[in-house]
Amino acid sequence: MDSQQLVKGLIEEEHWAFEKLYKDQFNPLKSYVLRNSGTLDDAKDLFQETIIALMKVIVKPEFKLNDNTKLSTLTYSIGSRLWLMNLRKKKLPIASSDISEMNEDFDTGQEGLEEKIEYEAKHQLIAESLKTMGEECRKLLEFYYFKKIKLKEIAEMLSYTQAFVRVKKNRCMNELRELVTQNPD
Amino acid sequence: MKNFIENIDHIEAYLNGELSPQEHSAFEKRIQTEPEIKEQVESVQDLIKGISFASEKKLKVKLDSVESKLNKESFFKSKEYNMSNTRKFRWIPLAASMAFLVAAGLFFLKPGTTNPDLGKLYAEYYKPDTEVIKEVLDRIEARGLATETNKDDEKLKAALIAYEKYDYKSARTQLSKFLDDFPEDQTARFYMGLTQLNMGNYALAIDYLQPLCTEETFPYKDQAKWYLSLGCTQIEGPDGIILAKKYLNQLVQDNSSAYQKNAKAFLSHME
Repeated sequence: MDSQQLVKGLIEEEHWAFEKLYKDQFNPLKSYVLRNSGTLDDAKDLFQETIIALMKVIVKPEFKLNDNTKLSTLTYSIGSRLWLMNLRKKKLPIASSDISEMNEDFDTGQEGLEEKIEYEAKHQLIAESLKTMGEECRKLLEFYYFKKIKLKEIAEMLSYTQAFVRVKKNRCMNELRELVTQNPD
Repeated sequence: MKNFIENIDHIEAYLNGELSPQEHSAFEKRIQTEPEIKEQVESVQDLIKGISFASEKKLKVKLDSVESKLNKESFFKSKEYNMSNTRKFRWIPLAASMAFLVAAGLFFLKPGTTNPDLGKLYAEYYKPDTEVIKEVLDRIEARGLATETNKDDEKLKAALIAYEKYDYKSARTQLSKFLDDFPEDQTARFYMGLTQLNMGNYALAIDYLQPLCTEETFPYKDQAKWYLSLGCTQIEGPDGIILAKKYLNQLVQDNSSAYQKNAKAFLSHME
């Protein structure tokens, strides 16, 4: 299987693709975590965070794998930097050889623990309301707002016109907003 | 004043920095002067974050199930992972850990001594509970119908539903909160044990399950013994095996136990 197939499988959230990624990429990251004040549990948590961050990178239309960007390099790079960011927040020791990898500007879309807790509490209700919506709305909102897939591409995937998808997306947003307002608890 | 649907595109363009400088400042002025617009902008921001939150959560459930499968295949087990022994205890208060170690005789969790065949055997026999949980949920439901809805029952129910949906991380978080308030609750302790077992935290699972095996009032002692035995086989060092055999033998000797056959087969494989 080539990397392109794996990327496609990951974007489509296929079980086999995630399993392949674990089998290929977990061990190098685990070694990195163990070398830097972490445990196997930390490595497992980090690997999930890494996959989520990786998904946000690979779904972008401009993302292309080439000889210079291997999936393994990308995964390791995202994971190791995420771990260093976690360590910095916890103020735990970092192996001196790894300090050079610190990058203040690295943005993976992850947030600190406190923000994360607040974020979870605030958005749990929206998540619950989303569950009660129709499959098409849920998919559309997830594709557009989480995976950042462009309307034109969503239209192609769902065999609709772009204009229709835009109207539909806005209607779904309105429906979600109403559901949230109706259930403020 | 347009309604929400008609404003969404413009709000998103504003949030994504896609408006011209003139349009941007004009819209900012509206946000400051029109409370309804301000509320709509905040609403779009919240909804987008909520959608991402839900999508991440959904993804994590999938990843948990991949992790769980790999756990059963002993993918995460190797000599390299010896450091992981420390994590098994990271959430247990020291006193509880010590009590457990003394009770179980697990004074030393020697690394690298787990029999790899036991990993396979475990994977073959271990299945998440789908039977007892139905009964327990029905009971909570019935209690809710008979009396005024109890918020604590609702919390426990939510945790158990997370377990039922294989969302073990969420189940663990919710059960942990529930046990802070009700540390003696047998159902919560049982499912915390099973959740930890599913997440590969065997020592923690044992810590929750072992006391339940001898509590007279606990109705699912056989299940606790069965899952406890399975967890013990995954503990490194000989004491886990001794403990596993002790509880498996109890199940074998109990003619009324639904686990008698499985326990007998498991024991014969171990030997």
